[in-house]
Amino acid sequence: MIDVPSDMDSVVKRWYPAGVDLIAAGRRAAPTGVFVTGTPGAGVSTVDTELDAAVSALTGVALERAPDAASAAVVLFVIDASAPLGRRALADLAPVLESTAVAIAVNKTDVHRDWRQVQRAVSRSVEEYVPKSVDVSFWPISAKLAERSRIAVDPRMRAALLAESGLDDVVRFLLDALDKPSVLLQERKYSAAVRAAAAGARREIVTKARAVTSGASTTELRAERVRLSDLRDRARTDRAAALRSRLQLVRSEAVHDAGGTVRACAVAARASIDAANRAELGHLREHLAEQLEDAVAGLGRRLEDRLHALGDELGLNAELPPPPEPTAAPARPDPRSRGVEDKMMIVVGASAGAGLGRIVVSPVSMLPALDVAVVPISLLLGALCAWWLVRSRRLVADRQHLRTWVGDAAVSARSLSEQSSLARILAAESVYVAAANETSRSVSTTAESELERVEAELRAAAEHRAGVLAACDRDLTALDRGLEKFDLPRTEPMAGSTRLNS
Amino acid sequence: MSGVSIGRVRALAQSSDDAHVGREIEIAADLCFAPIRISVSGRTGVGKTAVRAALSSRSDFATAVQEMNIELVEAASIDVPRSPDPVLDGDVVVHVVAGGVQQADTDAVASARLGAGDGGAGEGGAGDFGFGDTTSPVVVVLAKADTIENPGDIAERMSKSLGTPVLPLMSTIAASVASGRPRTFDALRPVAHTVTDDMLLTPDRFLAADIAVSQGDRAELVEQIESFGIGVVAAALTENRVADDAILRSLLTRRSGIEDVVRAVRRAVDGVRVGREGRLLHRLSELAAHDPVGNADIERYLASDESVVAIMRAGLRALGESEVDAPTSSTVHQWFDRFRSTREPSHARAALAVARGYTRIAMR
Repeated sequence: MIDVPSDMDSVVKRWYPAGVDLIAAGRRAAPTGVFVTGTPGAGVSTVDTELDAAVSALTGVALERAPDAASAAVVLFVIDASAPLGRRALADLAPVLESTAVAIAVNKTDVHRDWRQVQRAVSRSVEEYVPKSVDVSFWPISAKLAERSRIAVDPRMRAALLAESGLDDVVRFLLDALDKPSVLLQERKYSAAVRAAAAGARREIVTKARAVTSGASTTELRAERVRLSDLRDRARTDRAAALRSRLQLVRSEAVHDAGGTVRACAVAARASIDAANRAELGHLREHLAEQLEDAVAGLGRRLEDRLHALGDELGLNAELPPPPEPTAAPARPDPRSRGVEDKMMIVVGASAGAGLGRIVVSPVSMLPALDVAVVPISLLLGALCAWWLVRSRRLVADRQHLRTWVGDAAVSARSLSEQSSLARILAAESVYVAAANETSRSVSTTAESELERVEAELRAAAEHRAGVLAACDRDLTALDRGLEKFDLPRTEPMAGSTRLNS
Repeated sequence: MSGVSIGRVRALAQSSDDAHVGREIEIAADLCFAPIRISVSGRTGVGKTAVRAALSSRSDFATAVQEMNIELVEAASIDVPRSPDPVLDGDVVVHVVAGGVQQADTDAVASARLGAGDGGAGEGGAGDFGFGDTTSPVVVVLAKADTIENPGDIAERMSKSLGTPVLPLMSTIAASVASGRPRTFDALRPVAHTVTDDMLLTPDRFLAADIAVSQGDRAELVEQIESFGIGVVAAALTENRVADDAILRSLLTRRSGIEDVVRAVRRAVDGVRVGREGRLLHRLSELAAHDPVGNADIERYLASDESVVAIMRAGLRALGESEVDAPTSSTVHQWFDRFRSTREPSHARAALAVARGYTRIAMR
């Protein structure tokens, strides 16, 4: 047996370790016996039974069987005469054809009139698609006729049926094949094993080369490169745009918030002024002023929160400048100064009271005895009326004064608050822009260094690819060179023997 | 089976005020009324041509072909060395096997079933009315059944391994008998009782047998009805000497299995038709839903007996149920109950459509 050349051996070892075992098994193989198999529905088991019967009738001993195609000296492959072999069946049969003598039995020739065409088609396919088949022959048979011949009573009929069945020829061929020198059979198995191992190694090499050239291994790296360069180029503009739009949003929210809060405060204040009595009105001044101050402070706090949230969201690590001190203390309502209206009210009240007094005492003046009381009573009534009118008039005027103050204070608080908000946002913007620039710079720097690393890896991968491809080429050449030694002279396919009914 | 009338749908397209809707209806109608393609597939040499000839030689099938706009074509062989398998994209696939089921056959049947299932986009292979119907028609035929001793058992075994019914067919016999060949069985009449099993073991034995029939007649008989057919005819004539040719022909037709195959193919074609009509009506209802006022004509058509029954059939097909001939109110109630008890929305919708259709039929 020819030894496997050392370079081919090492190639197989490296690429296809299972091939080493395959070659060793091929070297040790001692093929004996017949293995019967075939396509589904071709009548393999019937052929098997008839074969046994025919062999024992001919030789008196049972046919030697092999457990599988790999250890068989000859394989009997049964196909149905209804249709030729397909791609898959041929692919399954190819390794057997390349390592072992195969007798292809075309069964059921008794019923299929077209069996000759089928046999020709199969023979042509084998010749064309399995050119390295070692020894293949075709045998038209009919297991059914063989079965009939066994149960036939008439000896002439029996002989005729057996001859027509074609099984006798197959049996003779199988017995001949089993008698062939075992060295030849071993040689075939061994060469087939070597070829199979080489084919396995070749497949692995080609797969590897494909994987390397397809660029699948560098896909991730290239995607990373694109991502990094994108990050480097766009980080700055993206960040700036995001910051600008968010600040714009905060600005409009702050203005809106100031308007809403102050308005709500003013409405509440008017309601409490309307409901307050004289005693409460005195405290209400202070209270309203405090409420307005609180609302304005709340606005400032909310703005502060918004600005912090924005910074967190954009990942800006910047300290916001402290809020500016309120420039002027909020105005408190001044006490109302008495004007000419109050004095007028006293006079009007007194005169109205005097008139009222006169009317009230007019029935009294009818009685001369009570004349003395008329003047004091009317004076007293006039004084009382004047006092009440003056008091009521003061309450109304105080309320009106407070209401006017609330309106003014709300307008001024709103404008002040807006102004301070905008100033605050402006201050925050300058801080944030600086911070964003700083962050973008650091991101760009990181991306730049990452990019360099990725580029270096890509260069290394390209160099590695060239190296791997060169190694693959070398190994393939070694395989080809080694295989040349194992190209055995091919046995021509034998034609089936002539048939009585052909 | 009446189904959707092409004239009314085309008229809807014509009468639509909205040009876009008209065009959409035309497109849906084109898809629905396109020819139904039956493709005969199989490995090389299994007898695709003979099966196709057997189908097209049947007069009842030929009538259906003309009426229902059917195309019967032979697909390229599968499992051919060094060439890719063809895509089995017929609306109905008649897959032919012979001898045994090989892996290639199993794969082809599975892929044909899938292919027709999602082929709705183009040809509308398995249309539905939004009922989630994905069944697709594949008819598997065991050709050359005359060469098998007990084709029924073998076909049953194959049915199990393929997961779909396999119908045995003697295509040569079926095609010959349907096209009136052999012209007469007179040559066989006087010698029928002398024909023995041994003579029919192989065609060559029959040709060489010692009977008083001319070589030409024998060759013709073998060519046209195979040894199996000769056996059947001889047995029938032995039993009844006066059996005339028509009886013999009908006997051969029955034994050939062609009737079952034609029935299965017709059923598959009907299924495709029902599915396509369901798809067309679904499209119409979509169009009507966009503008119920402008498309009142479509609404009216969808409420007509014709389309309610067609939608019902699509629903029955989606649920894998067969149609009841004379539905009563209890049938309708059963379907309403089924509608209420079904969880799956598409199945519930299908059950409702069936209930509606049966109500309409029962009211007539």
